[in-house]
Amino acid sequence: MASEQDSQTDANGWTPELLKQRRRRAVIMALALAGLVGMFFLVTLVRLGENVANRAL
Amino acid sequence: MSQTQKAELKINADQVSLADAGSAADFIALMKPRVMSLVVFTGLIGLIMAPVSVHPVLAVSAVILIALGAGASAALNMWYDADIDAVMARTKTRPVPAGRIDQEDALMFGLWMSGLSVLSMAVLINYVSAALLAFTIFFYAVIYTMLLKRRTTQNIVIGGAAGAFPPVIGWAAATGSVAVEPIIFFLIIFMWTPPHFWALALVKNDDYRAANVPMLPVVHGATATIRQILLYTLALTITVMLPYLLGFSGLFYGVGAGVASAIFLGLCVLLAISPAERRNRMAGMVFAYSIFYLFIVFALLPIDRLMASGL
Repeated sequence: MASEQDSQTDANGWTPELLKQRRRRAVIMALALAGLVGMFFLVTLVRLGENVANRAL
Repeated sequence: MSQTQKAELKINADQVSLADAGSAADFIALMKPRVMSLVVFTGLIGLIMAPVSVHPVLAVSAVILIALGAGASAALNMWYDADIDAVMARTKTRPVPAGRIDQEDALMFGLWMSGLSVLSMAVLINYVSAALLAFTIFFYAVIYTMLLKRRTTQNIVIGGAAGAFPPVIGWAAATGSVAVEPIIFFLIIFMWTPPHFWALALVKNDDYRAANVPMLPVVHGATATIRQILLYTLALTITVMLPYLLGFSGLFYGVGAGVASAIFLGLCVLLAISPAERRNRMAGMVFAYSIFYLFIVFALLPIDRLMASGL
């Protein structure tokens, strides 16, 4: 049983399941960060738009 | 790479495997998504009810940040309460007590999310809503979780304030200030929290006793708890009528909230007169209805406004 598990781990001790889980977590984190960047970008556009529209000409 | 270096790496990987084992779903569970949904909903209502129009991008951003803040405080709660969560049947499968997320990772996740949500709120929305969000996280994580929960039967009464802030934050996100209306919304949730949680505590009494958490039923018994549930539900009924009585909601809200409150009170009376063997079932019904009740009361507010505006 133990040797079967060992045969599935890489040199650093990661099993395919753990690697898959880590990859999935990294993708979700990247998407969350991209979402945050997008939110900052959109809010900046909205704020900038308001101020550009209201500036003294 | 030498065999020794490989062996060292393997040991390190084994050490981090527990901490790294948490899936994305576990981290989402760490944020208590069901609690978060109610927080998001009441926060959104606070934002909608504000007397100013908010750009949709700003409104969505504010609600997302309120949700992140709520998730952060939930993660901090799970970090601190891992020991008692492990004892209770209701909570022992949570990611930290179940060993899927390391306790320290939960702490770091909660702290980073807190900082991120508050700073983003300050930069993107305004300082008042950011300060209120920071205070809410602090109140839930420190005042409720660390100071009150294990010490007093009034834990969820005082701690309930944390859950009552989201509509105030939503209003502040829209207006940059706080007014009478959001304070009433705060009071509604504040008064709603004790009957909601004590009904749950009646059902999960053995759990709380095993974990040594001094919930009201554990310390003072079922009869005293049911009496308190009745009193708080009466106070809640008066509080939910305030928007109508103070004139910022119309008859539609008044009638709807009145009917919903009458049903809530009726269920509490049934709980009070139910025999001991049926008490848990009745308490479960009160708990389930309390969630529906809060949703209905807060949903009635914008619907009433829409109807008043002739739509």
